[in-house]
Amino acid sequence: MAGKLTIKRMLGFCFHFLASLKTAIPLLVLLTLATVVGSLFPQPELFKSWLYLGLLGALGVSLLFVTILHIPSLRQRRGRNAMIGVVATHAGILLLIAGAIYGGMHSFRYSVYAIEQEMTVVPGLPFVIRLDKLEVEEYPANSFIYVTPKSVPKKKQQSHITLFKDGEPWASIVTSPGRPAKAGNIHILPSLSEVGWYFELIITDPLGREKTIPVKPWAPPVIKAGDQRLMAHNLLGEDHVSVKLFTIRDKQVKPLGILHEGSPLKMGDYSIRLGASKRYTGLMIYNRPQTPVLVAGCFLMLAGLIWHFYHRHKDKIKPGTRYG
Amino acid sequence: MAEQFELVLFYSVLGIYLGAWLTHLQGWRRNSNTWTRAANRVLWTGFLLHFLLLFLRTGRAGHVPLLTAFEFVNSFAFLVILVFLLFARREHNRMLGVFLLPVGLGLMLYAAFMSKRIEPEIPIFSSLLLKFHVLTTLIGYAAWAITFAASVSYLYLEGKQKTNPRMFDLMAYRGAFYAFCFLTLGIISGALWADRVFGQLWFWDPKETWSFITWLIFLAYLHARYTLDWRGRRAAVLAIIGFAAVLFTYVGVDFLLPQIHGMQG
Repeated sequence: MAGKLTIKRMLGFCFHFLASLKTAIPLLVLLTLATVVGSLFPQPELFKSWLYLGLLGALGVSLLFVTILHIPSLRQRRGRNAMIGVVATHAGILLLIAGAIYGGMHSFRYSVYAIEQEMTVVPGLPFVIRLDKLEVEEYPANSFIYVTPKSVPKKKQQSHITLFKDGEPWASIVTSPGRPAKAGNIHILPSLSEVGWYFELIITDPLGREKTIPVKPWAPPVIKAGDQRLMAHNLLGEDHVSVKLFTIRDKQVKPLGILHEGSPLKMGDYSIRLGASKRYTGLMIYNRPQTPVLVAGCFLMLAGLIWHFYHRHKDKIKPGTRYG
Repeated sequence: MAEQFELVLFYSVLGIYLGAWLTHLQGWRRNSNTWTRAANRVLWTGFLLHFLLLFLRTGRAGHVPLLTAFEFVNSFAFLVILVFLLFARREHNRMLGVFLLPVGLGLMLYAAFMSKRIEPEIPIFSSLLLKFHVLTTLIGYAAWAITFAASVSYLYLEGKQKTNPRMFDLMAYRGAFYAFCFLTLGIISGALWADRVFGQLWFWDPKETWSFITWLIFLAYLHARYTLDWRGRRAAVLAIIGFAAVLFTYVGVDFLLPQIHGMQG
């Protein structure tokens, strides 16, 4: 006869359901299958979806309960050393999952563009960024087999940055890809690919009037010159600025020509030339509140594995018990 | 001149490995310890020459040979042979070589068709953390190659009288344990490196995703053995699936799925 359904009994049922390997293994298989499907038929949002994260979370909880439930039998069957290794490894994995969830809830991340000698204000940050200087050095041509130097990271890409607080210089940092700088608990890292030239186009109309149009390559404007509509972007991998111009008509984009410094381009009665140009770089600005949890998780997991590594095969398996 | 010498050395190593495999095959067919010992000696010779090849390459390139596709595959083959020699010394069996050496040989053949040119090392690739990531991942995959070869040996011997395949079952488990440890180290160090370079620990790039899938399969294998008492045939089949995942992560992803992960050349 079924007993009364109480919260205690329901919690007990949930615990034993999740603590069963008959739940954990199918969850692991489901997670693997979902990951395979997500990889073969890329869905950008799949890995951030509640379904996937829920599966990951359920596996984490199941792993925790399985470990808790199996501690006594583990100790009895395989000895104290095996038990310590297993518990530490699983606790480490759980900390990693917890760290990932905590990071997802409490971290921030901004992607901004900084132009040389200009201030970049990011709402929410305690400082204003000024890119003082961007040093860039390209690889010579023919350095690589399968790629052109323009498509690989630069030989040198160093950003010299001053941070301002309350209008006063607060800190000076130097950063390059692979070497993030820290300001307080905030990391600043230049982008590997978002680096190039910010420039101005000066358009002279048939009456000799000049109009200066600033062009930020990450958000290029549509430029009007008479009845023509133009777009421009700078060519990458150059020591100096060169700009490629396109015309847009009836939703069709056609190349117009390449603009170099000191050599204007004629377009009917209009003339286009390059004005001032400065280097720019993409910057990633982020914090890592989850780092201590992740570090602790990694440490615990690796320590558990190493402990297991040293002791697992030394534990004598009693005749008649399982091996493996 | 040095380039020519390296090329000669590379093909010599390939030839010696082929010879070692054929000798192993003979030892297995004749059930002869003499042939097996001879095969291991031939293999050691090839291995030492392989070490010399990698040493010379390091000197000439000025970086650890893990940068271009050729260097990566060549080093992977070296590690597969190294792991085999370590296991073979301990386990004294001839069958493992019959099934494992073709993996090393296949990698060497794959490398033979790649460009062997030296490329400059991009600053972000010069990080020690990245080298640690590549090395630990490769050791992990090489250890799983042991699990694969031992599992195939088990399935082959299963049911045959006068032979006890249990040793292969245990060997597969040991290989899997090392593979899991090293792959875990590889994934963690790779994530840390990505964080330093891209400001993000994980991208769900196909290579990363498939490394994670491979890791999950390794995890499932260990748990299936450890808690569900899977062994023998069922564990061997799971190990072979795991090796297929390794191959897909390593080769298939490069050809079939668009990705940002990979070697420099």
